[in-house]
Amino acid sequence: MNEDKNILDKVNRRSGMTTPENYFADFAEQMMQKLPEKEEAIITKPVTTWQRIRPFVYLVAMFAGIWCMVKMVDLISTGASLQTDQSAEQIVAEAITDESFIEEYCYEDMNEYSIMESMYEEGIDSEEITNLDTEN
Amino acid sequence: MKFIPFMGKETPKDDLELVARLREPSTCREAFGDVIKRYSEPLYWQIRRMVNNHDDANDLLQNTFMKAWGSIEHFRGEAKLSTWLYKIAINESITFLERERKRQNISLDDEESFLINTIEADEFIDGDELALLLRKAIATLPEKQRLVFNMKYYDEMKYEQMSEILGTSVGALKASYHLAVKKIEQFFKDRD
Repeated sequence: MNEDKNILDKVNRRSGMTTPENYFADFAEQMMQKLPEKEEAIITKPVTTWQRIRPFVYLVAMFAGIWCMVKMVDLISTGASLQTDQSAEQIVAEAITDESFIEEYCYEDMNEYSIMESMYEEGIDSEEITNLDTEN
Repeated sequence: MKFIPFMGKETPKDDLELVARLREPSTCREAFGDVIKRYSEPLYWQIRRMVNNHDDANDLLQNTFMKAWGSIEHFRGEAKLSTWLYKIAINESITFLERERKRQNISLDDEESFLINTIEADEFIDGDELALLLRKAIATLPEKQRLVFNMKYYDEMKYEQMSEILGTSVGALKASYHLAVKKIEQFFKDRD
């Protein structure tokens, strides 16, 4: 590193490169001649109505978006609370204790075969019932 | 040819006055003439160290000032005038080198020999062997390290200013310079 620093010191920051005589003085002069003229008058484009109201429209749209989001979050949270108010077990327990529910949902769905089957299980002879019907 | 530090001679007060004159349509052109007089030399050397050839450096310097003149209305004075000009000059140089690489079908691996060839073909040299050797050593560096080394070693630029121009952190620039010095050291060792 020290050796390198010595080498860099020896070079003394001279790049070893040269330029043609009076290069920089001539360059400035030539460059000025090449520079194009600037147009001083800046042409301003007319501002359209849409460009004028655009920021307000964006602002209104932004607030509408925020309102929708708040409303949506509110709806979702209300729905979630409805689901959590009553558990499935509680609903089933209530339904079972309600007699009309049993009738509607259990007995009405029973067909003839299942009635005969349950009668057989109870020890009732189906033929006796049939005879009773004919006797009456 | 004498070495002229780029940032070292910069006087911010003069630059502020120059920027104020550039903003006035009535004094803009004359002020830009002063910009050319003040910055053509340091910008030229930065470009020349990148491209190694006077004619190319001359063309790129002209392009730099043309672009600066074309977008002078957009220069808001947030960055230093010198930083802004330096950015344009470096972009021009990098774009030129990329274009040359493509035109001559040179891969990144062959870039070193391409740059050394341009150094050897350069007509405007002062015959200083050690300086020539250093140029060849710099040509072996990757592009970013080459830039950082030139800015630090030749222009004595502060890392903070380099960071503004190159858009790289100060830490990364310090590391780049350190690596560049190491590689140059190795280059000279290998020659012994």
